[in-house]
Amino acid sequence: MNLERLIKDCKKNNLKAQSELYNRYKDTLYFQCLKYCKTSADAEDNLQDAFITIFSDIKKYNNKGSFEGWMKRITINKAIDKYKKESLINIVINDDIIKDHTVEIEPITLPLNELLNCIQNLPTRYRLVFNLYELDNYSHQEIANMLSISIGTSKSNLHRAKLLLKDVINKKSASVNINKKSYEH
Amino acid sequence: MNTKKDIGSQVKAHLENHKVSPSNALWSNLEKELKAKKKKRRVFFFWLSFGMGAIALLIFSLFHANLEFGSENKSYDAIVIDKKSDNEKSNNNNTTIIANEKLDNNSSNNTESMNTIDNSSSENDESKNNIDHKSFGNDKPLVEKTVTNKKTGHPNNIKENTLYSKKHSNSHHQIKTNSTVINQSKTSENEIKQKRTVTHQNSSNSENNSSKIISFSNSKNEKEVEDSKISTPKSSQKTENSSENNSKSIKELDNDNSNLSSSNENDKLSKKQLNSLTHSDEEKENKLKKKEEVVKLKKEEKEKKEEKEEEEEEEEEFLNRWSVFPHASLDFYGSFNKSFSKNTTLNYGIYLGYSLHEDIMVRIGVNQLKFNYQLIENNVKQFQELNYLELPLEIKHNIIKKSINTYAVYGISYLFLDNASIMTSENENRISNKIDFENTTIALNIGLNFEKELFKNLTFNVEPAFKYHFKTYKSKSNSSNFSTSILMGIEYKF
Repeated sequence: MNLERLIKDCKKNNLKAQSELYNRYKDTLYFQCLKYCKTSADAEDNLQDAFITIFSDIKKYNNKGSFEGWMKRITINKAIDKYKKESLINIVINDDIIKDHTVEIEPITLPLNELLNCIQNLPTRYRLVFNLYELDNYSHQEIANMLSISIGTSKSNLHRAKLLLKDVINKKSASVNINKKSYEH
Repeated sequence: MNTKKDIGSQVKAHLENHKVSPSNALWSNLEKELKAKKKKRRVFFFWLSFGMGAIALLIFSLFHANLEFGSENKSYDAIVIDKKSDNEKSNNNNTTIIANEKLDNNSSNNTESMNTIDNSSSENDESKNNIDHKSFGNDKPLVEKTVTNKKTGHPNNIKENTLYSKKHSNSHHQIKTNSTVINQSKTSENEIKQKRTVTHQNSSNSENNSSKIISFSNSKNEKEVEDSKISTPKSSQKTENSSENNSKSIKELDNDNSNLSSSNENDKLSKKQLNSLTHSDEEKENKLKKKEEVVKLKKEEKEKKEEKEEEEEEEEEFLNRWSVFPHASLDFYGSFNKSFSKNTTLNYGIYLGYSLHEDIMVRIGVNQLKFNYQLIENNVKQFQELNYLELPLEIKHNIIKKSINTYAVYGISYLFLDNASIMTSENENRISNKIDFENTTIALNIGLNFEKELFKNLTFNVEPAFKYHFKTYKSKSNSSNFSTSILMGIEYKF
């Protein structure tokens, strides 16, 4: 079934079409959730909420722009809403405007799970800002609007997130290397 | 050589185009939530349609009540005007006022008497008699009045008499029904008391209690209570006997069990010998059973799939909520009181419908209704023409889903009189007699709609309907006109 037909059927609340749509996009969106949520359980909850919104709001989708992008936005918004509601954004506001927020690092050799774990362990707002800016190409203006923060805070949060992530990745890679060597010996 | 790169771009490159599967339980949870949402939506639409129906009924009943109230007042006014034209104006006016006052008094007396009925059943007959006397007493001024009117030759007072007699007949009816209600309530009370007496008999002070209660009851009920008294000790004897029998049967069962245990030991030896012989047969049977189970499972799966597909098809159809239904109708105008002839007309109109639920549609419309009929009154032919603008509010409820869908249609219509004219012959000039008819009337609509799909969104509809018209005429409150119609048209759903 092509995507247009699938969307049309989902608009009719057709359960079979909904199931097919879910199966087609569940893996991509779940991975998106994993990046934005702290745990895999949180990610599953987020995915479920996101799909309920997708199925109820699918009538609003007017075939303009990427459908996958539209679904990803809903998934990200769900994650942001959740953390806004739970008031877990507990980072001290720091409006230091950083012009260059580049943080350089040696090539990452960590496996996917470990890298995801490093991102998940970032403080909530750092994680959100890092994901939105670096992985999903949102601008600081958009991030500021989404998280109800200033552009400067967004920039400084990104910089701190990178520094923290670098630190964590370096530590993890070192421990992984030690483990490897000990295993070889 | 500097191999360092920005951490952001590196992480992005690492995480791009990766997919991770969530647990399988997630879809089942999601499916449950989606189904629950659907159910909620259905319940909401059900209550919405129910509420709308109730409101329509309320409006209709209020409108009807107002019409009836208005008609009563108008009839009284007409009588007063007629009497003014007589020579004995002042005397007759007085008599009518007295009559009206007495009517009111009488009705108030009736309500008082009804209240007194509640106190005792023995007083019922007395109060009935009192009311009868009162009614005869009130006849006196009416008799006088009819005499005076007979002289002038006006039959209008007969209306008053009929109205008066109607009121009295209603009051009598109410009293009678009240008395029956009282009797019924008394009997029900007695039944409850009977039950109480039965329970009291079990206790030590039963005799005293029952005697007290029986003193309140009627003679028939006394007998019944006595019968029930007799029946209770019998039942207690029966229970004793049954308990004895049970104990006997338990003993017998114990004996049977001991016999069975001994026989089981003997069987064990023979079974071992038989097992070796029957083992191959059992395997064959098991295989057959397994095959049957597999076939059954496949059948069930097929049925489930078919059901799902049917549901999906229904849901597809439900997407088109709005509909437009232009139509033409063949209408027959009639009356329960009079015989109309040449009463068939062709009319047209349009409906706009909205589906609240896949089975329920609410529709409003604008129809042009032109009624022609020939009426013979006092050997004089009259041709009547009525032009109405009809605004129907109806609910269309699906009752049969097949190749031809069948719907029940019910609702109300507001009819706005556009023109009314009368002729003594078909080709004569028309004389407007709009004054004789109510400007707005209401009709109760009931019908059936048969729908056949022509294309994806187009259906051909045939709809026979019956409409009862309330209060068509201004002067005749008891007029009961109706129209039956066969409506045809093509409905477009979008």
